[in-house]
Amino acid sequence: MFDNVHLFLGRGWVALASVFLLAPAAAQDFPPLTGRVVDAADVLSPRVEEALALRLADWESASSDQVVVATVPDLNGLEIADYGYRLGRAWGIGQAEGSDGRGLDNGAILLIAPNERAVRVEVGYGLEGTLTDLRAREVVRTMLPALRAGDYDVAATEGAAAMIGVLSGEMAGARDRRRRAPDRPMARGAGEGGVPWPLVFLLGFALLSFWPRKRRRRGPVLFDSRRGRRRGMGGDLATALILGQVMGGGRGGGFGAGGGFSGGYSGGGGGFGGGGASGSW
Amino acid sequence: MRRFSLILAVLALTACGINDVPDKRNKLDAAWAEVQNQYQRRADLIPNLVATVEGFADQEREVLTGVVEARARASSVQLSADDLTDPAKVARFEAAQEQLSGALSRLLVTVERYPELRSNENFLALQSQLEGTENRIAVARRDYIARVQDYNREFAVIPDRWVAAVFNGSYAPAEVFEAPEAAQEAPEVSFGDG
Repeated sequence: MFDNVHLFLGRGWVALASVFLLAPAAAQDFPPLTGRVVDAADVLSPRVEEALALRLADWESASSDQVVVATVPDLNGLEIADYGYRLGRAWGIGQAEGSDGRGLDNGAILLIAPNERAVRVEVGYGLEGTLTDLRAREVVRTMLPALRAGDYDVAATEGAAAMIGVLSGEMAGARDRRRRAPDRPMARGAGEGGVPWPLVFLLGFALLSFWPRKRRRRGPVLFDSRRGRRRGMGGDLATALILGQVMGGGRGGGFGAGGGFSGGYSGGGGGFGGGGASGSW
Repeated sequence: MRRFSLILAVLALTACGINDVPDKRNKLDAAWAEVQNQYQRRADLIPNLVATVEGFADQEREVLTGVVEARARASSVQLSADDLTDPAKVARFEAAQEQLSGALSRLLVTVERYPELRSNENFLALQSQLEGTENRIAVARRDYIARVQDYNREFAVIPDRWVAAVFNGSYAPAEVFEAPEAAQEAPEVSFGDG
């Protein structure tokens, strides 16, 4: 009997503990998405970074495809293919959804890890049909000679050009994506959606405590605001405080997170499922 | 007053998640569909791959037959979403797919000995697709495992397990998907870096 109780609690605690223990591991250490070119490994010259960013911005305005070039100082001990899709998801590269409600997921990342001597073209779900694994592999192969020579400027420029070349090779597809892309792709809020049930619940609970009581009832009382001989609307300061807190919190979490308007750059929440190709030199 | 309390009680229950188990189960099933989808994609690539390799390396009968047989076995062991709570069926499915992974990597190692094959356009295309598919399988499996953890948590921690026990009696925890390390790695394919 006692064993059962122990087991019962034990499993719960293990699961609970694993949630807390896993949390830091899940929060991978990715460089911040500062623009279309993220040179976290610091191997690109500023001139090339600027030129690349312009070119990628041009392509984005033509097709709505979000292509990002990233260099990272380390892969957190992961394979580059493993790191690549996680990075894509963490940054949310590509528009998640077209204006027609169907998935768009038109993001791609050119990822270079100089210290691991690994390179990858990571392709979002929506571009897998155009930038196929074979095409991605060709992009990687065009970059290898420059990478072997240690010329990251040339490698990144050629790689990005090759990716755009593939994506624009099928112009009809790009135009279709542009047409379907939402109007302000980069200004999507992060935390929207759904009815905030806990908020509604607490709101109702607070209102209940303000409810003027006509007469005393027998039976269990959920919430008694009459303690201390105050009545009805005289109000429960604590409840009001909680209510204020909750509403403030709701506002912050629910509607705040804009992004992309004030000169910053952000992903559109696009999805990645491991498409693309890798190589090493 | 009483009616109001009733509404509140309903809201409270919604907030406590009587729908969590079915919701998470749906996500679990969707994640599983993606895993199956990617395995199917791999199976679909194999006939072409075998035909292409045969053209160049017919003497590797044994390895080729191994792949064809492993594919047939893997295709015959299906695991529907309803069977995800059955450890024996999950284990059988895993074993069949793992065997196919093994046969495929043996094939890809063997073809290293045939330079003409490795420069064949068709083969290169198939090889890169296979490589990409193995990677997608790995991603889909990781996503699925995360869903399983999320779903099974509903049956493990308090108060979720109480809610599940009262309202979701027909649901059971899913089998945790554990594959030996070897099965999670894509077959090592050399690029022949040109």
